Amino acid sequence: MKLAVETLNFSYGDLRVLLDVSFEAAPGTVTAILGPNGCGKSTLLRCVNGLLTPDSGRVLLDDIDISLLSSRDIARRIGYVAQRNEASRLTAFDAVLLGRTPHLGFHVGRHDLEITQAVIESMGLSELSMRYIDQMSGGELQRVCIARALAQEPYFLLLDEPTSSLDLRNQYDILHTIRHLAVEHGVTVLLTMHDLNSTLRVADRVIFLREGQVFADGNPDEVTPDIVAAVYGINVEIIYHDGRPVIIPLNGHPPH
Amino acid sequence: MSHLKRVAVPVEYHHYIRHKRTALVLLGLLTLVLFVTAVGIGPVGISPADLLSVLLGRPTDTRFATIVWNIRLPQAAAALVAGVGLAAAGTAMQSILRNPLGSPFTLGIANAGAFGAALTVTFFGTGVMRSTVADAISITNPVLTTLGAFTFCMLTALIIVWIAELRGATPETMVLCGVALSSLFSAGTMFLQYFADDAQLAAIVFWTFGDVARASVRHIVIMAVVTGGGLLYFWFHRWAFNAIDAGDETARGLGIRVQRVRMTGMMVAALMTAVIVSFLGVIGFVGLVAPHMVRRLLGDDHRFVLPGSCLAGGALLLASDTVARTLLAPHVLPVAVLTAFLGAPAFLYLLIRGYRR
Repeated sequence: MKLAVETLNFSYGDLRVLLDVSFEAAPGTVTAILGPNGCGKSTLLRCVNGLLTPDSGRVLLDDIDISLLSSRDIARRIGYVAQRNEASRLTAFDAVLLGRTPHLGFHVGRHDLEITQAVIESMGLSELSMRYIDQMSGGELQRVCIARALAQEPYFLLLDEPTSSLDLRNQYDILHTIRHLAVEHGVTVLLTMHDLNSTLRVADRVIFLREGQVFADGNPDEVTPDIVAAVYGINVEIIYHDGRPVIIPLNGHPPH
Repeated sequence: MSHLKRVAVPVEYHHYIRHKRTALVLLGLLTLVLFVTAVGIGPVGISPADLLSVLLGRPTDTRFATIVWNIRLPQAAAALVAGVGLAAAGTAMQSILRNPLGSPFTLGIANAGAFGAALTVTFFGTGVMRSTVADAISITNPVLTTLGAFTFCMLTALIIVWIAELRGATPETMVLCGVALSSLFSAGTMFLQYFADDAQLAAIVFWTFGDVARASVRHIVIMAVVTGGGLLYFWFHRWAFNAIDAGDETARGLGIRVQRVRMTGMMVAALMTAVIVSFLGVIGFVGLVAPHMVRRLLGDDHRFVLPGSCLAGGALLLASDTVARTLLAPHVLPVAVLTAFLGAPAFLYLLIRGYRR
């Protein structure tokens, strides 16, 4: 399913955070939102998910305006993994089962349990499914949170900095999973990231935000040192390794 | 992502669920045993067989029927209903505020209810002294007194939600908020006591010692109806509470209207507390201790914590009341004196174990 954002504007009081942001995300692709801290990445994700109501503009899920959908209907279409996740004393199985909430009637049905188990197996969490999530490492908990979002059976998956505070191995595993979900399962993924090189490996498309506006929008090959310098204020060199762009920071800041 | 193939649920999960349910059944049996014990123990001992004969309408001794129907059964029923209600309110508040220190007593809601009730006693004359020692204080207008207690419970609940929104519901904020509100309403109650006449003063003081013996059958029915309604509400929202435990953003991403659940949940918990407090007085710490006992046993899943806390709360108050009646016999202590002693170990336990819920 296609995701379209049309001239989105959002402000916190007098502070304008998003200015005329527009883009489209094709079905089964990974789109990354990049930019420095405070540029509006997380706010954009929250607007797309309906957690924040924009001042103007629209978010369309396969041509349906989300402002016409109830929060439950949105949750049946969009899985969301927040930047910060609390771990209560639930088993991983029950934490993933929680993702069935938008589909639940009064009782958990056999169907819900079977979908949960399917997600757990597809995420490689079978060994952990009976462990309490408050005893898990950061990487394990992040996988459980993504599994919870997948148990919603979403067409769209929004991830707010899914690899922050994870070690290299866990970062790799999570990004591999995200890529797999888009390519193999046709999920349309929208994520925010800080690590440019990880992003260029996983994303089909990158959107750079600067001061709440789309500064650059293209595929990873189109990222240039000038774009990075303008958005992050740092000089970089871009080399290619194994056919993929790799960004290397250089000494010295670019002239303002 | 509707192509997921359904896979059979592992047997370990079914075992896990069965263990939780068995624990709930055992807790239920414990509560039943404590209920029968509470009815049986007293100056006149009544065996379970005699109790059964009374309940079946064929008492072996007519005195037993009088004692059971007029004294012991109402008192045990009041303890059970109040224990269930306070524990359920505490469980819900801990989830709503995402804070282990949430309970009607620690947040100052019970004290606010006491102040509200004292206010109606003072200004509307809803409390009177009676000449009998056993029932020295009676609330003559339970509707007005409940309304007084309820209004202040709700007001306090609103203040707490507002502060939680403003400053974040950290344990420190909540404790300080509870201390501040408890002090405020205690001061208010003291102020009223100072200007109260003898009858009003006695009414307020007796009333403040929470005691399950003072509830009439009508009071118990009202408490049971409100508690039952509240439990239904909480049970209906058990998945919403689980989602809120995972964080506000996650819960909203799951389609939960967090603000609405938080506000209505807090109001329902405050209503349950208000009704119990206005009929029985302030009974502290049951709403804090029972959920923590059960969380340790059953985890944080509200499918099990809610019924488990209710049963544990009922069992705890039944046991406390039985001990309070027999500890210094023939003197009978109000149950609140005993539950207050549970407070110190409960806080120490939380301190040692950490704040994690």
